[in-house]
Amino acid sequence: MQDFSRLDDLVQQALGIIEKAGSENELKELKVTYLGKKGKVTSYFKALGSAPAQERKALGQQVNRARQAIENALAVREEAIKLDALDQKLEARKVDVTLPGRPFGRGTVHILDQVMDRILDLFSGLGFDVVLGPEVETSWNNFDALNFPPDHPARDMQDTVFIEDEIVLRTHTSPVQVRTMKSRKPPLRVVCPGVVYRRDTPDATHAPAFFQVEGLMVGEHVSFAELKGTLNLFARKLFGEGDTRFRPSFFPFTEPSAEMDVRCFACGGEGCALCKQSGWIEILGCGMVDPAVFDAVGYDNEKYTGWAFGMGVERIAMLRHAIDDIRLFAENDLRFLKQFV
Amino acid sequence: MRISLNWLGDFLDIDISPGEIARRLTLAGIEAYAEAFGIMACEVVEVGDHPHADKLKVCRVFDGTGYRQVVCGAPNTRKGMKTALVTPGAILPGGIEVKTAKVRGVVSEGMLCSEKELGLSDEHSGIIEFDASFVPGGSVHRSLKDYADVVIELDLTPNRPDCLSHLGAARELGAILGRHIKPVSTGLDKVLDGAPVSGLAEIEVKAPDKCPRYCARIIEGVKIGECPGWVRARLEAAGIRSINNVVDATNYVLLELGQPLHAFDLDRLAGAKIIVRPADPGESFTTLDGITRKLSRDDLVIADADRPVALAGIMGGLDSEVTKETTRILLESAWFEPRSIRRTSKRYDLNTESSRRFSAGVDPEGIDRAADRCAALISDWAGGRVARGRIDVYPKPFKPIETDLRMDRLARILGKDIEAGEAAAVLEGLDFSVTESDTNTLHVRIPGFRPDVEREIDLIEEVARLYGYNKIPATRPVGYLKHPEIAKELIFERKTRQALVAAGASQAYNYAFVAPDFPERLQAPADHPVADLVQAANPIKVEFSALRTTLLPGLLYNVQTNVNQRAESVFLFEIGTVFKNTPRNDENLPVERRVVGGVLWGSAREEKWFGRSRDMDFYDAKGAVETILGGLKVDLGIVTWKKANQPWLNPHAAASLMMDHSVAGWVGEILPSVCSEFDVPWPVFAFELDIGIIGLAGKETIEYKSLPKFPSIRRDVALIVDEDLDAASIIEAAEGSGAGFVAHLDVFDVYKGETIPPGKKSIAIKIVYRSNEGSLESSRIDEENKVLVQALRDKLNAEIRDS
Repeated sequence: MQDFSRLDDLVQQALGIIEKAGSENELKELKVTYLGKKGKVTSYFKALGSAPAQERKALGQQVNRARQAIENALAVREEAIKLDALDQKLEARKVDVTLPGRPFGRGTVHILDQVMDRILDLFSGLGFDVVLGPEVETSWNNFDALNFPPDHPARDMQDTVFIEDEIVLRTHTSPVQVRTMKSRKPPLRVVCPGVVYRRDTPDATHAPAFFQVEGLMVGEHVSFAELKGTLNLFARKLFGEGDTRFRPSFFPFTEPSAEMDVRCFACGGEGCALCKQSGWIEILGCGMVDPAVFDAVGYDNEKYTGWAFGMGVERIAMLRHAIDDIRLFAENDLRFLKQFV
Repeated sequence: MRISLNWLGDFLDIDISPGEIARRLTLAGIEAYAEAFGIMACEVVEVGDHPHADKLKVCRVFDGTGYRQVVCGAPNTRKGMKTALVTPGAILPGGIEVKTAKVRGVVSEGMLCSEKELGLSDEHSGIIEFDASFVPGGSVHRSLKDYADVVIELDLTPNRPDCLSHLGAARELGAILGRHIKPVSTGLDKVLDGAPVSGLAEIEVKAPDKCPRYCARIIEGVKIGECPGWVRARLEAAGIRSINNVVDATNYVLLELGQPLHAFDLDRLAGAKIIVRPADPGESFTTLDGITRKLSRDDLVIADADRPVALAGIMGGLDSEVTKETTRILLESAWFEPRSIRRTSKRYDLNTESSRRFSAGVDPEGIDRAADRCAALISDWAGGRVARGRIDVYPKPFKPIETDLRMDRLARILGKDIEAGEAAAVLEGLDFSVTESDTNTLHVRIPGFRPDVEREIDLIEEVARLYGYNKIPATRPVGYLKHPEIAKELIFERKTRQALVAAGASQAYNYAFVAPDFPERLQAPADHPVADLVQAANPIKVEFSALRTTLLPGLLYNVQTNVNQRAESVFLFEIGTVFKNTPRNDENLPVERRVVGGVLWGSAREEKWFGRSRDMDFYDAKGAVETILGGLKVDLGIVTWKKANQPWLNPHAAASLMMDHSVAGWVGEILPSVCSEFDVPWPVFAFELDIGIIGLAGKETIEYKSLPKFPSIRRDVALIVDEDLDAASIIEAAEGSGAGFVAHLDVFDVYKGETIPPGKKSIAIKIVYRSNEGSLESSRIDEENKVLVQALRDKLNAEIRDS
C-alpha cells in the first residue's frame, strides 16, 4: 500500500535528480524510473484503486499533478540538454573572421582592355559599329589615302617601321577607316580599335607599339558642331562632368583639325604637374574629314561631310589611373596586372 | 621655334602678358609656352636649406613671367630681396653659358649673380641687391637692357613654316589680337653705294625645277668681327650662338623673316661663278660640319666653276665659308623645291635651320626682300658697300593661288553661320587679300608665305580657328536608330578573355616585335611555320626587328619577369596578332591571325594559411583550353585531341586540338632546353589556339534538352590496363560495348603504384545508366553492366578489379 503522504517528497526528489541529468539517455532512464510501467509514480496510480472511495478523486488529482510536474521537468531538461549540445557543436566550428577567405583564383583583364572596352562601349552605345583591320598595311592605306603626300613633312610626325617599300606597320588605325569607306557607302558611324606601331625606342612616355581607338562619322549633314557635341558626351562620361575645350591643330587627314582638352581632373584647373600648369589635359585629336580623303576613297566630297577622332588608349589609362610609365603595360608583372581586378 | 618678345616688339605693339600671349596663340592652334630669358631682375620669394650642403640655399624666384628654382651660395641671399637672375641658355659677359644643372643633387634653373659676374664692377661679396624700383623681369642695368627678355616657345605643327620667323609669329599674333603689324623696312636704301652688281659674279641655274629662283647680292669691303650686343642677345634668345658679324646677319634674317641665306666668300668662288646643278654621280663634298659625303644625282648642289660649294638649302662647304680674311661677300637668297631639300636632308640625316625651312616651304615672295635686308645688316655691322642691284635668276615668277570661299559651305562644315564680312576680316588680318566679295562668296588671294593654304577647306579652317573653336556650338547628331555591328572577332576575343579570367588567368600584352633568332631558340627548324618571319626593313634594334609568329616567346619572357619577382604561380594569357610572311594575300600583305596563348608555371594557387597547393601540370593547361572552348560555346563533342609534335614541346606531354580534321591549336609541356634558353624554370606549360577557327565553331544559340524524367543508376568499374592505353580508347570501348541504357561515361580515377604491376595502370570509370521509358531495376542494370565489363575485358585485354 502506497503512502500518499510521501508522494510530494518523491516528486521533490525526482525534480532534483532530473535537474542534474547530463544527457538525453539519462532522462530516458529517469522517465522509466518514475513514469514507466513499474515506475515510482505509476505505482501510486495503481494504488488508487485500493484507496477509500471518498478520497479517491482528490488522491487521483494529486498523482496526476505529480506526473505532470515530472513530465514538465523532463521536457525542460531535455530542451536544455539539446541546446547545450548544439552550442558545443557550433562552438567547435568557430572561425577567425580576420583570416582572409579562400580565393577562387579569379584573374584580371589587362587594364588596357578594360579602358578600351569602356571607350568602345560608350561609342557602340551611340550606334557606332566596331570594325577591325590588319596591322601590316599598304602605305597607300596608311598614308597616301589619308592625304600624307610622299616626301611631305607630315610623314615625319609618325616615325614609321617599314616592312618593304610600300608595306608598313600601321602608324595609326586610320587605314581601317579607309578600308571601311572603300567597302561601304555613307552614312557611316564606326570606331576602329587596335595596335599601332611607331619607330620609337621605349621610355617612360614612348612605346614602339600601343593601342588606339579612332572613330569616324560620315553623312550629308555632319558638322564640326556635332563633332564637338558627340565628343563632349563621350569625354564627360569617361572623365566626369567637367569643362572641355577644342584647340586648332594639324593632322593631314582632317581639316579643320582640333585637339580636345578636358579640365585637369587632378587640380580642377588650378595648374599642377599633371597638366603642366595649364589647367587642361589633352585627351584626343579630331577634326572634319579632309575632302582629299573622300576623293581617295571615292566619296563625293561636296555631298558628304564627316568627322573623325583618334586617341591613345595607354594615354587615357595613364591619366585615369595615375600610371607614370607606359612600359608597365607591356612588362606583364603580375604585381601590376593584379592591381586592376 | 623660339620667339624673343623684345624682337616681336619690332613688329607689333604688345600690351598683354607673356602668359596671355602663349594662351592666345595656343587657342589659335600655335601651341606656345612663355619663359623669361636672359639677364633680368628677379624677386626671391622663398629661401630653403639645401638638403646636402650647408652653405647653399634653394631659392624660389619670380622672374616676371613665372617661378623657378635656383640654387645659390651667396651669404646675403634672403627672402624678399630683389637681385639679378641669369637664365639657362644665356651667356655671361665672360662668355660662359648658364645651363640648367643639378647643384649637389638639386636642380637649379639659372643663377643669381654678383656685379662682377655681370661685368658691372669688381664687387663679388654677394649677389646684387636691388632697390624696390627694380621690377622682376626688367633690366638690371642700362648696358644689359637688351638681355632682359621673354622667350615664347612655339611647338609648331609641320603645316606652319610661316611661324618659323619673328615676322610670321608677329603676323599670327596680330591677327589674333586684331591689329596690323608694322611694315618691314630693309634699311638698304641708306647703304646702297657700291659698284653695279653685274660683272662682279655670274649665276647659272641648271636645275630650274629644283631651284625656281636664285637671287644674290654682293657686299665688298667688309671687315669680319663681332656683331652688336643687342643682336647677340636676340640670337641667344632664339637659341643660336653668335659666330661673326656676317654669319650672324644671315642668321638674324633667317630668324626675322624666315628666309635662309648663305654668305659665300666671293674671292674663294672659282671663276666668281655660282652654278646651281644636280650633283654629279660619284661627286663628294665636305660640309661645314667637317663630314665628307658622297652625293647622289638626286641632290642639288651650289657649285663654283670647279666644285660644289654648298649642299643647296642645307649646309655650306668648308672651302667657301666666310673667314677672318674675307672682304667680299656673295649673299645667296633662293627658293628651293621643298621635296628635293627634304629628300637630301633625310638621305644624309642632316637637319639644319635652313633645311627645316626650305623643306616646309619659304615665302617665294620674300626672297629679294630678305637679300636686301641681310645686305643692309652686313653693311651696318661689318662695314663694306653693297653693290647696286641684285643678280636674280627667276625665269618663272611665282603665281599666288586664288580660291573661292562659299559661306554656305563653311556653315555646313562648321555647323555655324559666320557673316561674310567677319570671315573676310579674319582672312585680311592674316594678310590674305579678299579681292571680291558678295554675301555668299569670298574670292581670296593666298600669300606666298602660307604654303599650307590652297583650297576652300583650308580657308574654312583659317576662319574657324581665328573665329574660335570654342565659339562654335556643340550639338548632337540626329539620325536613324540602329544597332551597332561589333566585329565578330572582337566578340570571340571578349568571350575568350572572360572565360580565362574566371578560371584564374591574368591577361598580358606584349609588343609584336621579336628578335629574329627566336624560332631557333624554340628549336624550330628553318622550314617550320614559326620561322616564316615578317621582318622590318628599318628596325629600332635587333630585338624589335621581326614580327612574332607565335605568342610563346613573349609569354615565356613574362614568366621570367614574374619568377624574378618571386611569384609563386604564373598563369598568364595573351590575345594578339601573329604574322606569317608567306603566302601573301591579294594586297601583297602577310597573313595575320588572332590567337590566344597561355603559360602556366608554379603552384596552382598561391601559398596561403590553409596550406600550399599542388603544382600545375599539363592537365591545368588543357583545362584552360577547355575553358576557352566552353566560353565560346564549342561543343566538346566536335573536338578531338591528338598527340602533337611541336619542336618546343615534350613529345610525351603535348597535344593538338583538332576541329574538323584541321589543327586549331596546341597545348603541352615546354622542353627543359627551351625553358633554359628563355631563362625560366622547368616545367612550364603552354597553349596557343586560333581564335578565328574556334570562335566560328561555337554555337550561336543552345537548344534545350528536356530533363530526364526517371532516375539514373551509377556503376563503377576499375580496370587494370597497359600503361600506354589512353582514356579515350577505354571510353570508346565502353561506348561500343553493346550494353543498353548507358547515358554517360567518365573516368574518375587513374592510379599507378605499388599494388599495380609494372607497365600497367588502374583506371576507374563510372557508368550512368538511365532509361527514358521508366525506372530501371537494379538487377537489370547489373546485367547490362556485365555486358559492358565483358566488352572491356575482351577489347582492351583489361583485368577487372573488384568493385
